[in-house]
Amino acid sequence: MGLNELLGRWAVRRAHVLVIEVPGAAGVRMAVERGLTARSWVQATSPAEADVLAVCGSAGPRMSVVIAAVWDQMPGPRTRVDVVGSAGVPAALNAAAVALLDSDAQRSDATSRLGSWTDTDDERDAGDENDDDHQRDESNGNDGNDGNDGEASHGDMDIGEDHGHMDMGEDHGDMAMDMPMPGGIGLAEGGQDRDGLEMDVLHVPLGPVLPHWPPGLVLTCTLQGDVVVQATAEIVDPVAGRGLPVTGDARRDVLVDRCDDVARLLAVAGWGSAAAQARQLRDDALDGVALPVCAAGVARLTRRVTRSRVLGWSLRGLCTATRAPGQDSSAAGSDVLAVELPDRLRGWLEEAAAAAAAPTGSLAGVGLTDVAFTDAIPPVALPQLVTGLDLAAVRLIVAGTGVVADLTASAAGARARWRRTW
Amino acid sequence: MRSKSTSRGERDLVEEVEAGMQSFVGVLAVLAVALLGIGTLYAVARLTAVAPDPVRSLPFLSGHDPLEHALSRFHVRWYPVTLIFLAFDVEMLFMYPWAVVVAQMGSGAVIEMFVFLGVLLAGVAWAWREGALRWV
Amino acid sequence: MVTVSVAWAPLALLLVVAAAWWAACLDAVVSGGRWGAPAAEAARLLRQRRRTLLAADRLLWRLGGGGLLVAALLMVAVIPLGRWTLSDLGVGVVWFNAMDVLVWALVWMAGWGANSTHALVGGYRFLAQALAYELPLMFALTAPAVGAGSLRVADVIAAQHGLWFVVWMPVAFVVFCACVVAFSVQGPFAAAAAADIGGGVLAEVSGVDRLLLLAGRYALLAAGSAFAVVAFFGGGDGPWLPDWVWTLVKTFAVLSVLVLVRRRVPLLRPDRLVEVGWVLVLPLTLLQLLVVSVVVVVR
Repeated sequence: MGLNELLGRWAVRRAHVLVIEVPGAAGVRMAVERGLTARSWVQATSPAEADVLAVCGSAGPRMSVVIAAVWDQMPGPRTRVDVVGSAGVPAALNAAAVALLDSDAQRSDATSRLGSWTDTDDERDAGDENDDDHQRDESNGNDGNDGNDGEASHGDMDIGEDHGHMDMGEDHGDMAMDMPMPGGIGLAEGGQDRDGLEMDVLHVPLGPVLPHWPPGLVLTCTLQGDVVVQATAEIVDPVAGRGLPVTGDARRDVLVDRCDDVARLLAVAGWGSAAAQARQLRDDALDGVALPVCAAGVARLTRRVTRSRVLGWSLRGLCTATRAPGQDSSAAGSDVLAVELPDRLRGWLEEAAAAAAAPTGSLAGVGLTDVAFTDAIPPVALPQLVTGLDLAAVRLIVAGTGVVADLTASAAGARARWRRTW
Repeated sequence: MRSKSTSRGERDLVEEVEAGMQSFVGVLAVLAVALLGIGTLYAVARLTAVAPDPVRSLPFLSGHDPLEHALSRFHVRWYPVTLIFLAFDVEMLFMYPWAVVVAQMGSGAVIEMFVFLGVLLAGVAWAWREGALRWV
Repeated sequence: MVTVSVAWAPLALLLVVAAAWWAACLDAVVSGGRWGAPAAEAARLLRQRRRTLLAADRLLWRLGGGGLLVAALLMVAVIPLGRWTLSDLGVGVVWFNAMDVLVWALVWMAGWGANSTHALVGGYRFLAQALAYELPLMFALTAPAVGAGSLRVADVIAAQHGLWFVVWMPVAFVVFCACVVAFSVQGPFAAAAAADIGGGVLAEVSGVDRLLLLAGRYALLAAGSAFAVVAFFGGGDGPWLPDWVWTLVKTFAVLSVLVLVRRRVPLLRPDRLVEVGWVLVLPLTLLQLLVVSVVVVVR
């Protein structure tokens, strides 16, 4: 159909891309983000929004499963690109545009998809839509979910079955086959809340696929309403180091890292235009823009951020939120809470400014050697920081710290001490 | 300007009612146009989308499968605010008719209404002091 | 005020869509994009497949998504274009208020219906935000009604001949504009659709469903701007140009200002907004109302 092609040509001018950063691929992610900006493409916040799935770095076994599940949730037209090095970004985005424009392939992808559930799963209106039968006759060739280890999506269970209803027992082994719940997924159960009411709890994993989220981090939250009442944290497929870009000039490396931190926190705080400004500064530093120009840019952003009373009002007070009784105040990560988020933001900007203004050569003399681990905490320290907070606060705190796998509590402490001597 | 209700004859009343009905006809027409427009958009999208039927997906949970359905008794921690809100919202029932007659009724109407609002505001101040407006 | 034939109703749809389109274009340009960005986005979403979720409450979900545009149009139904109006409702101001309250239900349904945690959290975030903005909005709306001594939009416009209400009701005007941004789920009031919960009420919608939600938000902004013009800027009142041109010019001006200003402010978290709304904005709005009441009594 000609209309579809015409729409496609318009649509690829503003493709939405779900960017997934594999641990150890921060530099690739930054390169992809720059590529998107250059094309006026948009970063998606969820798979429903996305046309392109951009995997930055080589996914490990567990990330691969997660990525396949997210791929299953994209509506289509859809395409996936794997970018392992910053140099491959333009080619990958070009390939994505070409794939999105191929309407025939997109249509056949759409018709060959099985979907993640069937009418029999969806009890409420079983028989409501009868158009799924023709889909089942074709095999599901686009999934990449072959390494099925029990976490893969429901759709894969039905391959080859003509009128396959999902085998509920297989996916959630603890549930009986004849459970009346749609899709074999249970209903939420109650739990005591802080006011003594019984309210339903939901188990919600945050990450690894989430915008502006530390790579590979999975924070599994037990939620009542939007309050985290319990949490566990881990990093999937951890690697040493974050894979930050190396420009050959330590000052630029610091500048890039801090501006990236600032952009992330501003994005989570819901200030898109300021976050874009910070990202532009980061990209300028990577592009080799003269350091005094970068310094001026940092100063402009600092003025904008520090002048915004709303931002301060919105971010302040999170770190001193009431802790549940019995929490160990001396545990790793607790010193992170000593710094309020607006101060942390200003601290990053000050460090960026200091790096841009530093004399030629190494920054070892001023202590800026530990670029990779700004304010970072080990995942094990995270649950006690976020318990009792609502999702918005949790996201802000995670964005304001950064969680890395191979970090010991002592390294975090050393970092904090360094900050005080700055 | 409309005539005062006390001096309004029966014929005026009939005309007023008819005019009111006429006004709602306009609103209904806009509603019909809105529904028609949305229906057309859906029809167009059936033709232009890569597949007319919706894809069956699981909810976005950062790449994990859900353990339970999200539709649940959601714990809204701000339920005290809803009660205070209700008190003020009922007050709006008096506010709109009052707005129409305040100029004719004179200072008495202003004083009565704002004493009433003052009482409600005192309630808000008390609730604020009790911490009902903060829940995080 | 002349009530025109219902055959003009499609024009209301066209004007609202045009204004929403303008807002989206302006938004794209000031964000560093191109004028064509909304067109590209619309094309993208028309080509994109829709999604449905397991055990979703589909009726509420789709009602919530499509309903925003309908609510915006129903607001516009009582707003005169110059001297012509589709519906000269005797309680036009209350009607506008009722439609904006409808948005509470619609956004919540869009969040609830998907059967997805992020969307659900987004829907409830909007309710918390609505608790913060709704009362100031209602009292800000009452100020022009008191000034005109009528709830009929035509009377409110007529009462502003010579002196627009914005001059002596500045607080009500500013509060009203902020609330328009709030019920449009835009800019600093977009917590219900924020990136930190994967897009919230937008997290699970794609294709034409998403297009309707996004368009509905801009349409609400446009409808709110149009109402600000009739309530505070004298409607079609103005020299040289025909009155209907004035209505359009003023509406687009207010709409543009709202789009430009909302970018400058970071997200306001609903849980903190409630306190500000009740303790600061509500008393200020009531003070404004007191001033207006005293003026109309003394006058």
